[in-house]
Amino acid sequence: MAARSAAAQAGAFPVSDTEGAGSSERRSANPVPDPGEGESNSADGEQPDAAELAAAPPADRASGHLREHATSSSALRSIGNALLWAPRAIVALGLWGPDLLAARVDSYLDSRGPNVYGRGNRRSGWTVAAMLAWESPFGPSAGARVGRSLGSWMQADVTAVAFGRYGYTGRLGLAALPDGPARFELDGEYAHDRELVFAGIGDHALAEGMDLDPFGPGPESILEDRAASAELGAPVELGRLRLHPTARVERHDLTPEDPAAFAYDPAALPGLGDAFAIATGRLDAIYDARVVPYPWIPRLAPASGWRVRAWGAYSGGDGFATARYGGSAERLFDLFRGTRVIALRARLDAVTADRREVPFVLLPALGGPDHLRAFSRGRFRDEVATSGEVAYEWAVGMNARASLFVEVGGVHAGMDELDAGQLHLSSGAAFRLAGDDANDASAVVAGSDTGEWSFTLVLGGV
Amino acid sequence: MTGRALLAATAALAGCGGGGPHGVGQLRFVNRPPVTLVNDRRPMKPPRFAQPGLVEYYFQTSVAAPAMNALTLRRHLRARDVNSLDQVPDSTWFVNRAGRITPDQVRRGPGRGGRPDRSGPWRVDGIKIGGAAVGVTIKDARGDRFIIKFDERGFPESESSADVIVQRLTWAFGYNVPENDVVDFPCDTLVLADDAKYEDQAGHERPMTQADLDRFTALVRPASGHCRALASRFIDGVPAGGMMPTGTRPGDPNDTVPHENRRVLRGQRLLFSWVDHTDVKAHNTFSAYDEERKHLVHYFLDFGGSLGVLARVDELVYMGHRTAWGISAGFKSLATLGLWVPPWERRLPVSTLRGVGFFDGETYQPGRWTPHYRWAPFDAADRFDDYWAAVILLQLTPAHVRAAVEAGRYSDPRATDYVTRVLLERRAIAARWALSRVAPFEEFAASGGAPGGRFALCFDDLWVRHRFGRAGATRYRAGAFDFDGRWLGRAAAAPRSGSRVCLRDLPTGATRDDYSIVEIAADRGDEEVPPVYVHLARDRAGQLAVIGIDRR
Repeated sequence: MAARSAAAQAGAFPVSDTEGAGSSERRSANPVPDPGEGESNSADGEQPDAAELAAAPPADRASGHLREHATSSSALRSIGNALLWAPRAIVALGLWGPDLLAARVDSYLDSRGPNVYGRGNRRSGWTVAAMLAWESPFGPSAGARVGRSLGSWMQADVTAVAFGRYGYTGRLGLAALPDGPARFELDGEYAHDRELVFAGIGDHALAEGMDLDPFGPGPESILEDRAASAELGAPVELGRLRLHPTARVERHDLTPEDPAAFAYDPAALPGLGDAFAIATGRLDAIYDARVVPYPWIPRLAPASGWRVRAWGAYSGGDGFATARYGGSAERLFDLFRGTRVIALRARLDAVTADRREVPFVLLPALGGPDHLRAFSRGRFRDEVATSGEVAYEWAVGMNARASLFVEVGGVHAGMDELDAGQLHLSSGAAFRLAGDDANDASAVVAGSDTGEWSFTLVLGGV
Repeated sequence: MTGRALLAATAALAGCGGGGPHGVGQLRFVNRPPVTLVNDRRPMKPPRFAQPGLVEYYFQTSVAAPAMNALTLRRHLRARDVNSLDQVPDSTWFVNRAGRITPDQVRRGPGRGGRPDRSGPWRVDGIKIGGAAVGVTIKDARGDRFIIKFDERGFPESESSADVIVQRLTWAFGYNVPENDVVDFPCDTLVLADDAKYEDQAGHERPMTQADLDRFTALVRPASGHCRALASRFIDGVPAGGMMPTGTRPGDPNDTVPHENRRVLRGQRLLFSWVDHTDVKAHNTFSAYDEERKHLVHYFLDFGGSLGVLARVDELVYMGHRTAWGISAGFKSLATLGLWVPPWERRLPVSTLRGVGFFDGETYQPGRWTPHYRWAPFDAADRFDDYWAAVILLQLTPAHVRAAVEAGRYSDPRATDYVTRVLLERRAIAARWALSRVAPFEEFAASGGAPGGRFALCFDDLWVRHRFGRAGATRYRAGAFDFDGRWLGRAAAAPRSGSRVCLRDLPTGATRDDYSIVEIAADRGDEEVPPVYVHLARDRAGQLAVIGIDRR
């Protein structure tokens, strides 16, 4: 054990030169035996002999302390720990259940078999997603989706969402994903919505005098909409261009929950009363030239470039027909490394028919979590809806983004009646936690020029 | 007052950061040579394999333990497994080999090496269990067993090279590691063994079929039919599970120091920050029961994600800068509206060299480095643990580092050059940081000092030796005390060149084998170096010898 003894002379910690020169000779005075090819390299040579081992103390007595430094009194610490005993016991009790659950999860994962696929290669036929949300003034909702792969290029999923006391919806989706740029999607949905109807038509003229406090009791003008729909889509990816033709049929049966208390003039809400059907053919064209300059933070979020969308549709039913069209544009400006972004967005949606001649559910609308966010869903509805937004977005860690936004928007009685006086202002902040799948979380709070404001919290996604 | 002076004053007065009280204090050492070997090889019964699942482990270490710690008032404890020189003696955890090992030995690696015998096919007898990488277990023609781990698709030469490089460096530093090597072989070398089993982590098994093997090899087989992987020889002994970050292993009479108080684990913070080994967890440690000698030996393993590889493969560029949770960083980003720029956003993923991860020196801050998930010994580590590690790091020369990187066998020589350069940059950053926080004085030796006379105490100032500061810019002051703390005299020195410092004409104590304590203080311009107290006494030969070092 000459080597060990040499290295451990009092204070004689042989330290080499940072630059490496000049010290190797000193260091190699007691080298670890250098074996020949195929022989063991030092492991056995480091085994201590029995006599040396017998004389050695255990690790906790190696310090050779005859006497320790005096330490500060531990009385205060003892008193503090005694006072913290109860909170500690409560926390320990609270941790007991999750710990057991974690162990159960481990057992389950262990039973799934060895990792033979490596990172990113795990395959499972099932997908599950869930959602909990609170949106003013509608309140809570919850949903779940279960998906299943059917062979190598078919997928099916079932979604169910309950909107608290405002109804429920169920959806069955089938998707065919053959090799190639196109896929085929078939959706069927049945919904029984009990919608709070704010808007009627126009700039809320029919709702004047109503209590629109999002946290208050809210207007009780409720429409029940029993709707069934089927839609066939065939999105095609052509590089940056995406074409998405869809054919859709739907049937609505709209009735006031309480006709006597219904706040609106049914005559101003075409489609109210008798059930009606709508058939729609639609084509969306999306050119997405946004780029991800820095793919790591946040994950795959574009931070510069353009995205333009244009769409046209024709809808018809018993006694009505209309063309619908619209478009949106988004321009992103990267301020710093793809993690600080200015976004400009503009949008226009319109119908060609007179607003008195088509079911009001076909009219462009503003409000809700996507556009003019301070206002509730369907707050504004008319022949034309326009909106614009300026937002500053920044990364909060790898999977989250926050933004501050200002929106303007309004609805108009026609393209020849666009009026800046009809525009409303909405501004606020949003936070989105984006996971690697649909299980995101987001929160939006926004206020408006009318004093209305909204809060939306969504956990998960379906 | 400068930051360092403030640190010194604070440490000296308040005992923060593991420092002791001001002045000579109460600490005294037994007059004996420093312990160089501890006996943690006492016979014990074969232990039961014990290791929680990953979910439970992360819950316990990231949620439960921090919650309970927040409700418990504790005094910071300095490392308990050290000798009187504040160094770690040889044990089943650690061997002081860094000052003795040659670059060729680093290149070759520990033991017999990790390369399976090539004289026959490699018989696959199972699938690697656990971890993210794809792997199989094999027996070579000699009957030796290995794990063969493949690189992540799209990232050739990454995990295999990083594992071997860091395995070599960790071994050279002094830790026990498995015998690993990078191997290139025709993929057809892998054949199904007759007794191959397909076993899941819960222990259920069935015979492994050719279809299983084909399905598996299809995932890793390149078009060339030539495979590259990491080969890791099975560790001798009976697996006992990994080391938990706190407490001691039940039933092991040799595990006498709680793990969070072990220098051997706390000191790894600097080592692993150097190589960016962020995947530190109990499951990447391994205790094996030596059936012949009847005690445990402790290993560290699975370094494939280090050198920034995990950050690149998993696209988690923040690794090393924050934990997986990143809660405080998230709040900072949120509260500043994004004006705060986290350091990892400045980490340019510039290297497109084959096999190289997000590994740089520019954004490396050893004081802020963190593993991906909390590891209690790192939470408990103090500047003395970091200093101990830094001194060993400095014993690994550029030639050692180069040899380790060459063992990683990058096909592109630019990758070898790049990783070597960054490792040396980071080593200098880590060492400079650690040496700046204590008195970095080593190789103490007393001369003269006949009974009743005076002696000289000489030492090396590592700060100067390693050129972190220029020679001649430091003034050293010494005060001598006897066993009872009585003032004896003083000395001073201000050498104009070189790193060797001698404080002369110091009086010896008169009692207890002339027990003497020398307080050494130093200032580098306007920066005060924290003090160190060197304890000396006469050895059996009558010579004045250093018996203990008390750094503050």
